[in-house]
Order: sequence, then C-alpha cells, then structure tokens
Amino acid sequence: MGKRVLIVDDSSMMRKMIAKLLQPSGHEVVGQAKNGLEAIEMYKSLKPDIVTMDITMRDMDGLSAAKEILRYDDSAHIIFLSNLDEEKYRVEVERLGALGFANKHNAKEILGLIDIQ
Amino acid sequence: MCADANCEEYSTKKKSFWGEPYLQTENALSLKTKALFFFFLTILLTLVAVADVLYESTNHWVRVLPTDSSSGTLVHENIINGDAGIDGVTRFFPVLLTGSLVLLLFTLIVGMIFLLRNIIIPLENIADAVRRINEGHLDKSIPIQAKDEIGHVIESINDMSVNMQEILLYIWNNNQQNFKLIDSMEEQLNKYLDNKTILSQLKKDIARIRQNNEEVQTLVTTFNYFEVKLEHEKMVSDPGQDNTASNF
Repeated sequence: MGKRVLIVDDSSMMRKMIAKLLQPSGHEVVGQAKNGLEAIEMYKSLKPDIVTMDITMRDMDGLSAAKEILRYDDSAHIIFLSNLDEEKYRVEVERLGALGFANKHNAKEILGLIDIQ
Repeated sequence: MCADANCEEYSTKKKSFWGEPYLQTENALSLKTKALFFFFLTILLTLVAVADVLYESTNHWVRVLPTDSSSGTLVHENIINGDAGIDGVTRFFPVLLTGSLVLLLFTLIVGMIFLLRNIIIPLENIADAVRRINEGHLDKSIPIQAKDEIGHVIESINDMSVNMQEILLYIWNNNQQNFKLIDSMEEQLNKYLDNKTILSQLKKDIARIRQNNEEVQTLVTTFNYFEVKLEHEKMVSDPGQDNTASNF
C-alpha cells in the first residue's frame, strides 16, 4: 500500500536515491526537505504518513528536528537514516518513540520499516 | 602561465581566511585592484572638475567693461553672478554644477563600497573556502551572509560538498563489504580447490582485487568528513565540539 513520504536529507543526491528507492513500491514522495527547519515546516503543511530523517545534517540535526515534529504531532512516523549503525542512535530513537532506524543504503531495511505501518 | 596551485615559480604566500599560509597563483590584476583603481581615478577626476568649477566661477567668468570714466578703474563684471540682465538660473550655475559633481562623488563612493562588500570580498571568501573543500575538508560548510546571488552560489557549493561526502562514504562502505567477500572467497578456495595452477591464478586475481579496494579506501580516507570518522575498518560518528567549528 502506497504511503505519502517526506524525505529529509541535506544531500540532494541522497534525497534522489531514497526517492528512487521508494517509487517502485508504490510510495509517493510528497516532499523533500534539506534541513531540520524545512522538515518541520513541510511536515506541518504536508502531513505525510512517513518521514525519512537523516541524522547527520548540518545546521539542525535529524534528532532535534524529529523532537520538534513529535512535539507538534506525537503520532508522526519517523524513520531515522544514517551511514552509521551505532547503538547510541538506536537508544535515542527508542527514547523519542520514533518508528525506527535504518542504514541509508539498506533499501530492504527502510522499506521494511515503512511497510510495517 | 601557471594555473596550478603547486607551481612554485609564480606563487606567492598569502594568509588564508583561516590564518594559515598557503600558496596561491598570483593574480595579474585582481578585481579589487581594478575596481579601486577605476573608482579612485574617477573620484580624482570629479574632484578636479569640482575644483575647476569653483576656480572658474570666482576668477574667469568675468567680462571687462569699458573703463568707468568717472573713477578711472576697470570694472570687472562677473557674468555668472553679475546682474547685467542675466536671469536667475545662471546665477546658480556654479552651485548647481558643484552640487551635481558632489552628488556624483557620493554615488561613486557608495558604489565602490557596495562593490567591494557585496561582490569582491564574498568572492575572495568563496575562493578560499572552495580551495579548502578541494583539499579534503568536507566537514565544514561556507556560511551564507545574504540570500542573494552570491548566497545561492554558496548554497550550491555546500550542497556539492555534502554530496561528495555521501558518495565517498558510500564507496567506503561498499569496499568494506568487498573486503569481507574477498576474504570469504579466498578461504573457500583454499579449502575446496586442489588444482594448484588454477588456485594460484585465482589467488593472484583475488590479491589484485583486494589491492584495488585498498587503494580506493586510501583515497577515501584522505578526506575529512562532517561528524564521521573513518577508523580502521569502522565508520564512527564524530560529533564536533561545538557548532561553530563546522563552518569555514
């Protein structure tokens, strides 16, 4: 079933890659944000089903942005993406109550988390 | 003409934006020099024109009238200021002229300041920052002063640097997986392949792949990344000490 997804990543290349990853499964990319502030704005106006959030972003990092979004809408579904596979992020993710954590380049993991919903 | 930054012959040592000396190709005539030269020349000429107007208006714009028979003196009549039936406009001619020249002077100075502050200095900063990115500092971004055309350029350069980091980290990850696969392959071959000739050639090829992999990894590890450190076999998060350290 196709979900409406907001992609958040400061790398334009990464946003493109994730969009390509999501399309074949029938998900719709409703927006692309390149930093935490844009992510919050776009979440408020677009109300997507899922948010893929890059953790390591310049200016405002993904965790802070996610906190803001969850403060605005605690039912938000946020999937954290990162190059790193560190335990400390998983802990933070649990604490925030976000959907989950996946490696940026692991397509299966990402799609799996989305389809759970 | 030497365009390479490593060319000793034509380089001069300059202090960079961050206070480190670096070698830079010499500018024959920089924008800054040309602009300052142009403006100062024009300002000088304007001042000369102003001085000339003031001088002329007090000394030369006079007409000698025939001698006043009664007093026996020459009467100089100032054509511009004089009241020999000349209308009020010409009375103010030197004032008007001086006024416009002063206005021109003011405009030139403002123009020069604008050009320097908004275009030439930002360009110098951008050149510095991009050079640093090219030297491998993908961990820092260029601060944006104004959201104008220059700001757009800076934004795009920062984006390019972010993309470069993503690409390189992707390559590194990919290669790490390749190393594991290569090791596994070699192990299997050693275990199950008895034919010495085939085995030796395969091992040579595997060694070659491993070497190629290592060379790419060496290249990738020469870069500095934003909040990521590539330690031997591991990609770890490396959050900066404070946020200001992540800007050029």
